[in-house]
Amino acid sequence: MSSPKPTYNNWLDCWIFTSFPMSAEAMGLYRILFALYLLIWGVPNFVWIADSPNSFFNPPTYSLGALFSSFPAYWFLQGLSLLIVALTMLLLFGWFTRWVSIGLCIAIVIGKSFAFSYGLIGQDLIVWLVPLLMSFSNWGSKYSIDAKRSTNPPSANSPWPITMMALLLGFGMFSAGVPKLMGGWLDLGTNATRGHFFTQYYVIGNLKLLSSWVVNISNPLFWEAMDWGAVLFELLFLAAVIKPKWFRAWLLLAIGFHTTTFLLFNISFHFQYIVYLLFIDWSKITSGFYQRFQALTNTLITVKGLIAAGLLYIPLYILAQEYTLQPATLAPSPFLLVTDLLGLDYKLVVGITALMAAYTVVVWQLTTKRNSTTT
Amino acid sequence: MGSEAVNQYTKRVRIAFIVVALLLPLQLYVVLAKGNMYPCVHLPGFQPVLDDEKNLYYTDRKLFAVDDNKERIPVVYTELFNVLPEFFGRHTMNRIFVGTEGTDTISLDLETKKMLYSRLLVLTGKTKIKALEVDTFGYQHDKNNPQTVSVKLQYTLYLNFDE
Repeated sequence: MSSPKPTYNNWLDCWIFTSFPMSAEAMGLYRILFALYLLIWGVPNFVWIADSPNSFFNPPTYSLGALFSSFPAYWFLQGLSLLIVALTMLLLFGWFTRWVSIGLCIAIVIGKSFAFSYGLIGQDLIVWLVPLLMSFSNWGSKYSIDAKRSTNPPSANSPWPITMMALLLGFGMFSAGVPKLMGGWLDLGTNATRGHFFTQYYVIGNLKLLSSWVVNISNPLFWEAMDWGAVLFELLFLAAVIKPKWFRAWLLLAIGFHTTTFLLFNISFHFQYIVYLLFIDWSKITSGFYQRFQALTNTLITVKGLIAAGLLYIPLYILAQEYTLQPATLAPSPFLLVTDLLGLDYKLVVGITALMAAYTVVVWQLTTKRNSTTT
Repeated sequence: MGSEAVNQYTKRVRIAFIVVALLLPLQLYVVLAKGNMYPCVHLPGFQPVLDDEKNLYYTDRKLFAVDDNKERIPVVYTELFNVLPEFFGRHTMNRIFVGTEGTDTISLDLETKKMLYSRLLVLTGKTKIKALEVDTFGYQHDKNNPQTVSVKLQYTLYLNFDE
């Protein structure tokens, strides 16, 4: 039984429900890409916390960590890390997708509560909200074990979680821009970006790519332009949420922004790209592609396939956890273990491969016409 | 779903959006309440460093302007970054890294020294500054006894303005 097509009488409902349309096929494809992204670029791991002395335990006042007086025991952190890997595998194969998605978000947030108890809070929370919100979108209705097991016709997919993600992304960027604005970044007498750059270059030792060239740039106009550009980019991100076209244009700017950050500061922000992927124009994928993908997943997405993949991946993950050098131990994967064994720089490999993937999608989006039959 | 159910669902989602939108001012309040906004340069007190043998070190630096009476006036770390980064960066960290303990005096070209000096006068409100000192502490995490952190090394750098 198909649901009646809802009509929206006001601007707010129209914005919430129609801004980022996504077919059930596209959602299934995105779910698989999201899980693969984690399995290849690294599933969050918290075992390293067990090595830290409790004198470093300093959780934020309003956090889960504040309920504890010390870091959790090794067995808890190891169990939590393996649970996250298992949930990511289940998400990939789409088994109990809704509950697995919610569980994955909760498990990672618990781990991050302790990982952020050293006085520094990371910026990747937005990524872990994807499975939580997309659990309400019905993203497990295609290319999944759930779809094979269900005897009922799939219920309609809901695109509103994507609009919610856009809103949260806009909030995140805006609230990063406001302190900069109030902190004097637009003051012509300061070069805040340069200050950050020097920290990265001299203190942390990020000396690769363009860093050694940029360190010699002392033209205040260059650095002032960087300050203004960063603040305006972050503040206007929230306004761009209003229209999908503006938002996609801003995501394009964001990729350029992250590229600059990577080249200058050697910080990749690679985890952001999988969130940005959610907002592409999915109607540009042809129905022929989906048919071929369906045939492929019919063979691979099975309970046996899940067990085989788990038996293969989890031991490799534990190997990567034990033998990958820091900082890759924060999110190890067999792929990163191979880069380690080849003597490649973890940060460069992750940053460059993620950027290449992002630009491939950008080029494809800009050069492909919309396919009206797949919306 | 019938149309009534669709309407109810639409209403619930709309309320969820409004609730999330109302959280923005709260989030901004929390971010701004942290206070450390100028110039929005985050420098963690403890900077973990990994050496070749996978030992974790944590370093911390304290900066002082020394006036005519040899009083040490604390200077905010971030305030001087734009003027002379290397002085506060690898210069001291490298010594901690190779396990050196002690003191050292460095010299600078005149132009850089002038810039640094004038900035220090503004920051401290003093009319004369004799030297700038950086105390770098290295903390080593004892792998065999994870509950303890021992103060491992102290290295002080002097920049003498009187020379």
